[in-house]
Amino acid sequence: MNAVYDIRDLTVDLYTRSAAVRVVDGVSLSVAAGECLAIVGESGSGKTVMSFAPIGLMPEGVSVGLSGGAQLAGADLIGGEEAALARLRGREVAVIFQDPMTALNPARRIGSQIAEVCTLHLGLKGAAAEARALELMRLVGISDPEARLRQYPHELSGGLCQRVVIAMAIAAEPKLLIADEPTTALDVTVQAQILDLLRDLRARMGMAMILITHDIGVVANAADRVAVMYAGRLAEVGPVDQVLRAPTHPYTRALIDAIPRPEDPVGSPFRGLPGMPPQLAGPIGGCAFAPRCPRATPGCATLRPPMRAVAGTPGWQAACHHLTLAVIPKGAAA
Amino acid sequence: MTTPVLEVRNLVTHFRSVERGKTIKAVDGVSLHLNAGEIVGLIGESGCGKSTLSRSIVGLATPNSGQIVLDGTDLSTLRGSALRRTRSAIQYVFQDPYSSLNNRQTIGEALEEALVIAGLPAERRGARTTELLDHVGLPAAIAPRYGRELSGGQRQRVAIARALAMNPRVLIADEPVSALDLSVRAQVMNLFFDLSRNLGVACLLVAHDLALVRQAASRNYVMYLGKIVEEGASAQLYGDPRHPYSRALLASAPSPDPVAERARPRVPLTGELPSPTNPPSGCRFRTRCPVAQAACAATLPPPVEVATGHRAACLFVGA
Repeated sequence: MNAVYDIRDLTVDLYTRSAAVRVVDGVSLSVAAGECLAIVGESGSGKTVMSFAPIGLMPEGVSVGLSGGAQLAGADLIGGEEAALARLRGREVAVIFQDPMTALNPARRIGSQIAEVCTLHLGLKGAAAEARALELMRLVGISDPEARLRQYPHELSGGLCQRVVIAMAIAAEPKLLIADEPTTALDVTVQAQILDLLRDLRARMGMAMILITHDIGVVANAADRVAVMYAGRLAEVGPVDQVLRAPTHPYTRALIDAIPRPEDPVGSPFRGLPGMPPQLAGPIGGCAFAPRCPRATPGCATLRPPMRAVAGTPGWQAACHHLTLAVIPKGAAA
Repeated sequence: MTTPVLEVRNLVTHFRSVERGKTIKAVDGVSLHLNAGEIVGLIGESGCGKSTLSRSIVGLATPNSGQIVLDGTDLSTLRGSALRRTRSAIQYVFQDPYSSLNNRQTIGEALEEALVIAGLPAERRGARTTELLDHVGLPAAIAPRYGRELSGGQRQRVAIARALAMNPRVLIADEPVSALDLSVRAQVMNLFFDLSRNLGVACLLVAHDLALVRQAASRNYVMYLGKIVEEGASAQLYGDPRHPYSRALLASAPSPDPVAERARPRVPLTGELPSPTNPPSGCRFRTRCPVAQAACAATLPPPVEVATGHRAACLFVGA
């Protein structure tokens, strides 16, 4: 498999005035052309920082310590110049954020915002940039694009705004698209349309996609592979059919078990996870999930479990000392 | 049949649009009721008016017409302090526990403030604070801590405890868990079960997560463009939705099982929600409805009872 994006043993430390926080702790992942990798995890699990730190998108006011390797289309991202990263952003890698309303400039027409991106990344000017903008609007399935070009973001619905944001992101035909909760702000009926559009564009352009989400339904719909993160580390990674239907890591299992199912009786209690989500702090000695894990043994608190292959499926790995004890849950045909 | 604790009759809440002379018909003739100890779901897409409806019920938005009847008292007949006193029996839980609690107040202070408003004498407030925290499953030791020290799930439970300080008969919860992580949602949702069963509080659960509402609520209302299009018990509505909009809405939620998700039939719900300033004539869903016919533009379909307690407002509900 030819990886477009490859990160090796990535660690991200954030230094604030009073504390150092390890938000990403030794994560290795790769995405191939045309593939969609979903990254799931709860707030604070490091899924966003892990995706954005290598391409230089970090909040202002904190200093960031990056170690490990990250390559995009063969180019090293870590340790390079900011100017070199800036050249990659928008051309080789593009980003879609959660809220399309805040991603667009409210005071400028849709058409000029898309044309600006074409000027910036493709060097197109004037009429050529506008023609490309129109073409992009058609590509993302916006009806009546000539009229829409002259409208402002507030005149469009959330779903249409997200299509505009997608049009801007794919303007330079990036090799990698990072979509951070692209449908969270949208309704379910619109969500389906946007996920279909992203799948279609990915297939047509051979683009790799990283889909950051907390919604397992979105993962099942859109992703080929899924990486589950907990406390800045990978808990489990593998093909969606295996990981979502027969999870081996106790955290993945608990997370999927917590989703209400159609066969749950009305009025029956909801299933959750015991204990508290991990607090961001320094490096954790043992397994980060040990305090909440039903299978934890004394060794789990002291020794960090490495990623180990799950027998039978290539590319399926989990970080658990008790992997051999994994039981396929009932109803899951692997 | 039991008398409902809260009854909303033909409620209309309109806003003036930024466009001159136009009116946003956010809630346009909605009737619903809540019985004591019952959790009722209110579902619909954003812009359907479900938040305006809940805000109108607690008085955060002013209805143009219609009645809100609490325990037999029509709130529109009350004014001033009598209205405030009566209405305190309806409490609201906001979506985001990070913005609904003051970071500069301790949990104890936040609850005490509510108890002062409730008119509880100072000497009884300490014991009542402990009791409230106990209702929501938090230790009394949490009272001197600040909101910012708590997790999202804990903060939402404090927000619920504060709503309980007024001894409410009705709790309106607008997306109470959508700001929370999956693993802690269960704690808060199970708390709503406890409150409705043990304290007899009626809950209106406004949410877009259909699987969650199905499990939590015994009855449901589906809203579209300011109108209720279908109501029914969870088993009826989720098992056999009769309104084309409910069908489309329920069918568009992706399944967390990838194999089931690939097999899920796609309901072609095209287009976007029409503007509430100029809703379609007749049935409001007709512009996106797969079974719409000419008659749908002419008349507003009345609710048709398809089974006991299960009503759908569609001309072709039998089809």
